[in-house]
Amino acid sequence: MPRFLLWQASRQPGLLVGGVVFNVIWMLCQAVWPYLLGRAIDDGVAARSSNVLIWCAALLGVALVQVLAGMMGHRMAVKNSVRASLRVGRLVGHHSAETGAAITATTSSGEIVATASGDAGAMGSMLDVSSRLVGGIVAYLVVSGIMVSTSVPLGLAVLIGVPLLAFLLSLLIRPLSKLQTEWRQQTGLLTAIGADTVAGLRVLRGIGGEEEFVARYAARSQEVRRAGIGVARLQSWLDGLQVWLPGLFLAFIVWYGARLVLAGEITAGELVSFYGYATFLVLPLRTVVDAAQTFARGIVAVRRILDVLRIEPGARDVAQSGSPGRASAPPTGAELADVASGVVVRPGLFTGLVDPSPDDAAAVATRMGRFEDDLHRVSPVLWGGIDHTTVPIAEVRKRIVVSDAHPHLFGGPLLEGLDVHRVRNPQEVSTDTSQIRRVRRALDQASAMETVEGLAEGLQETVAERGRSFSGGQRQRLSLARALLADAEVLVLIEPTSAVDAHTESQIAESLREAREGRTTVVVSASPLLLDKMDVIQVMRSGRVMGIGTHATLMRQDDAVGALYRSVVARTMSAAEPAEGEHIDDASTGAIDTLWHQAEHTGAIPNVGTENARGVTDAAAHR
Amino acid sequence: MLLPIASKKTVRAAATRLIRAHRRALLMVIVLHAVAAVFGLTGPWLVGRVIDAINAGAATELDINLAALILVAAVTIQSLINRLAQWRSMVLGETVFAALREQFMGTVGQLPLSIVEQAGTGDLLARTTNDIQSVAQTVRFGVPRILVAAATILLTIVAAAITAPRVSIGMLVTVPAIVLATRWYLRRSGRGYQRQLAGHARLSGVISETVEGARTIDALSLAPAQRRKIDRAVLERRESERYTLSLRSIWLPSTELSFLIPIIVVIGWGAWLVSVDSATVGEVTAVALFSTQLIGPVIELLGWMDEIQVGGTALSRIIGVEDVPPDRKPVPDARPSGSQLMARDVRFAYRHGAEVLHGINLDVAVGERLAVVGPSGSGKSTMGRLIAGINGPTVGSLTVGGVRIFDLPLDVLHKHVALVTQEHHVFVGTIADNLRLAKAGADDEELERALAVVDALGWVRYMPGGLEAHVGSGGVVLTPAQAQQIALARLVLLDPAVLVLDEATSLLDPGAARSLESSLERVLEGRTVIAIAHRLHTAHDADRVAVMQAGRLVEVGPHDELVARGGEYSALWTSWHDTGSGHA
Repeated sequence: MPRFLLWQASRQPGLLVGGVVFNVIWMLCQAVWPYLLGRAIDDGVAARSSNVLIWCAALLGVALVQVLAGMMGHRMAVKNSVRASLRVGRLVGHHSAETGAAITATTSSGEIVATASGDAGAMGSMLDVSSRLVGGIVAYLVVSGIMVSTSVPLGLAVLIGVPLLAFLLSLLIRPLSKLQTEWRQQTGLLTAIGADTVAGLRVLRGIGGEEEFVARYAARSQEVRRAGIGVARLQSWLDGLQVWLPGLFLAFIVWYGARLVLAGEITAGELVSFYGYATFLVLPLRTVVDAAQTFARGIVAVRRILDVLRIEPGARDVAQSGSPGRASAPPTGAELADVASGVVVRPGLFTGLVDPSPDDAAAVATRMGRFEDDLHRVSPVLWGGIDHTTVPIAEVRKRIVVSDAHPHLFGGPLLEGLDVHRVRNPQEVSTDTSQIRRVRRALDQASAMETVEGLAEGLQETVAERGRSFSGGQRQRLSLARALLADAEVLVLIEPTSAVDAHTESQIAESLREAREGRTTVVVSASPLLLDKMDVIQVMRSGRVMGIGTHATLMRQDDAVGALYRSVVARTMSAAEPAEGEHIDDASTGAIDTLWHQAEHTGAIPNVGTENARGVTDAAAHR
Repeated sequence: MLLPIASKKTVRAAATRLIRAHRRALLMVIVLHAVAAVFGLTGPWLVGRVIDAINAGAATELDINLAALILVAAVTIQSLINRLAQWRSMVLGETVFAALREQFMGTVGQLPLSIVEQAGTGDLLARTTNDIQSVAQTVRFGVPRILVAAATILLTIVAAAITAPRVSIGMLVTVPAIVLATRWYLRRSGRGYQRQLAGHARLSGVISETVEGARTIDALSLAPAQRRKIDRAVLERRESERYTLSLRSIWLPSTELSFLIPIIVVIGWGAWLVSVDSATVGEVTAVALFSTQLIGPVIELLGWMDEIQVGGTALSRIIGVEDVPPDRKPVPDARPSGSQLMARDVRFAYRHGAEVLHGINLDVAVGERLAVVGPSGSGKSTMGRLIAGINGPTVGSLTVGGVRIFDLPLDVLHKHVALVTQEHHVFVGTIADNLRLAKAGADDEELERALAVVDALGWVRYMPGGLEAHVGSGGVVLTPAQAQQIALARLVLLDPAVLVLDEATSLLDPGAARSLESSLERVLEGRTVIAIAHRLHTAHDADRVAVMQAGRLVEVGPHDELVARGGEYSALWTSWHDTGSGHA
């Protein structure tokens, strides 16, 4: 941790040194004030001399320097803290872009974001407060020096008294920050309840549960209030002590100084100076208390930052010291074989994976993409006969693309977000028109064109972060288009149509075939619409292959494998088992939407057009 | 459409209302702070007195000891009162803030659903989380601290004026400068800080989507693109910070100078007064020290200016929610007699000029099961929303038990009509919490009965803790189908006279959906059910089928009759049987 902090400091030495210098100047100016004030009173006011003007001019000079130094000090402080915190935020952000799923394996995404903003900020404040702390300590030493040279006992009293006060005050900080943490947690919970209520407001308003919910929020709010009052109780004592301890110290200085004046050892002006010093010293004192608090928070923050930065991606290239030649990639069109399940993916074909437990099928498919090397130690995947963990990770990612069950969309221009081909092949040059053509074709194939056409600026639209302005089904279709645009040798799609309606699903099933014709495609799904289009289906139980066939053969096959297959697929079909499995689409499940389209198509139902009504209800439903 | 933002006038009125509601506590806080501030002024006053006494040669050691004792006593009293004042003001801040957020949530709970849907939940969510948070700092600490600082400043000036009226005139020379500089600053800083906050939100947003989508980024090798996005957000954040910093680089030194100069003026002006025997050295000393003591509270006061601005903006968004106009004027004592549904020439348009329903006439008898069938976009869901009283018909009348549905007060409405759509939300809490929303006092047995009706008792019992299992974000994540079952179980508990199911079982697999529907039917004996059907078997099982097309009702009648008639429904039914697998 000290190394990390030193590294941070070494990235901005100018700012840190500048911060110290300006803070020292600023503090010293304030320290000089009482002295000049005392001299002005002694030499000018009391002596009724025109010297007062000289002292006033000196005070004005100090004021100007102090003001400028203060301004510069503030600039340095803000830059110090902003720069360090943004650097760390950026570092955490970049790191999470590199580590893949490992980043959220042990910590929640909320915590990582809190580290990138909150903890990074706390670390930045540490750098800022250190320069102020140095300034405060220097000022304290200088003032003590001045006081010792005027009166040894008085000077010593200050020299010892101030650190003692700082120590006493810092004792209260630990319990206070503990209470504050507790309060913050409760507030976070309350905010979560509020957000939850808003998210479910439509449901609440439909059944009239809002009163119950508001009452629940209010009860929690009162708990937070009580916790807040608990913090306030301790905080108020700390505030009181911050007045009382320096006040007692001040009283002592006045008492001792006045006796010295009476004894003729110091002048009245010098007493004023001492009074001024004593009040001034509250400032470095506050800085010390402040620094103690900031450091306490900062150290915890740095620890969390380091924890995040230490997270390593699940898959990494093996060290180069391995036997030579091992890192060579298999030739194009190599077969993929998952040893644990017995799944073999033949090149150029569409392979469907079916398991009564969708998670087991998804796990097999995910292994093809090599995301966790630890996992592959027990269940290797052979790619053209080579253990794919020995192939350079960049090569695997380039040639095998796995689109998981919940792919994320990202904010920014839609065209850029969809056309991952450009990001993945930066050296390749393509014209803008060919790019748009390519993207539009993929959107068509993923049945996502309608969504894009509904946007005010089409492909040029800026997508909100996480693509949250799209509905779940829209997001799924857009991500499918993106996966197609990755243009990979092997494309693995896990439940690519789980959030779209049956009509769209059958369209996608058709066009997927066309989009990936001749290339290796693996699909995990239980949808008969999709499975009907597969060249080969591997039927599994608990992640082990039980049998192989096509949809048509498996629907008729009179053995355990056929029964297993039908039991999985029938879940998404009619409760009644179909007599023949020749041609399956969603119509067989009695889905009105599909049947209606069909009937319109055959002319059984006259098409009267529904544009008007559809646009509006869709818009209302997708918010 | 966006949710309204309150005007300055409304915010001010709301603030005044809050202050008035806590008048007593506020007055007490101010008095306590004032008393504490008075005791805090003892120091300079005593030092001035002591200096004058020594200069006059009248002081003894006893006097000095006495003065020191008075000072110790004064400081002790000041600290105790100060502590009490801080305590009371923080309690006040907590109380006011709690009242504010509770009132806000109360308003949110009452918002017309039609308006929430138009505005989207994003804006409301931001107000519930970010704005409430940013107002917290201002209300909890800002207001009390500002009161303290203002009271201290005022009392210090008064004390100086009492000690030496002529000398203290010098204290006020730079007041205009402070006011002008601050006004200049505040005019620009508000926007600057808003930009800074927006930049902060954008950066957190990008990082958060990076973390959440880390898997996708890895799988598609998108890291370089995402890194570029982060860098852009970092740059933007730094730029916004630079702007406010440049504003402060002008404002801070000018204000700091403005409270240093008075001290110098007091000395110069005091020296002249002393030279003409209009003031004593002690008086000048005291006022100079008073001026020095002003610095602290003035800095504190100015420091809160930014925070107050941010808080004010947030407050205007929080209070703005109250400005949402009600979408209906309920007739307070409207009580339906019976639950006969009647639609007469019902027309409806979400937007002016774009009619979605073109004159619907329909009667639904008490206890009838009506299935509504039609292609997507035919206006089925809109019809459901009108029956559930979410929207009112643009033209025509839609009544339950002879009363217009849209005229019913909300609590009466919910007892008579309920709507369950395919949208589902599992609330944070236990399964029991989620169910009791529909019926607050229900006991466990009742909850289990309701779960049994929707075929959910099995998996609920299987869950850790059963009914008390924590679900929703942070707890067990329910599948969409399970969430839908919970939504239907709520409906069973609610037991309304008329219920509208808008594809409420669409996320369950067809077999399960059908068995759930039939068990629901047994429980809902005697209730009117309007099911907007997703699959044909729902229509087959209903008493009557209503076929909608392009906003019109094209056919209404029992299944067999419609099949025999040879119209749209018949075509649909035949089409299913042609596929070879329909056995309803």
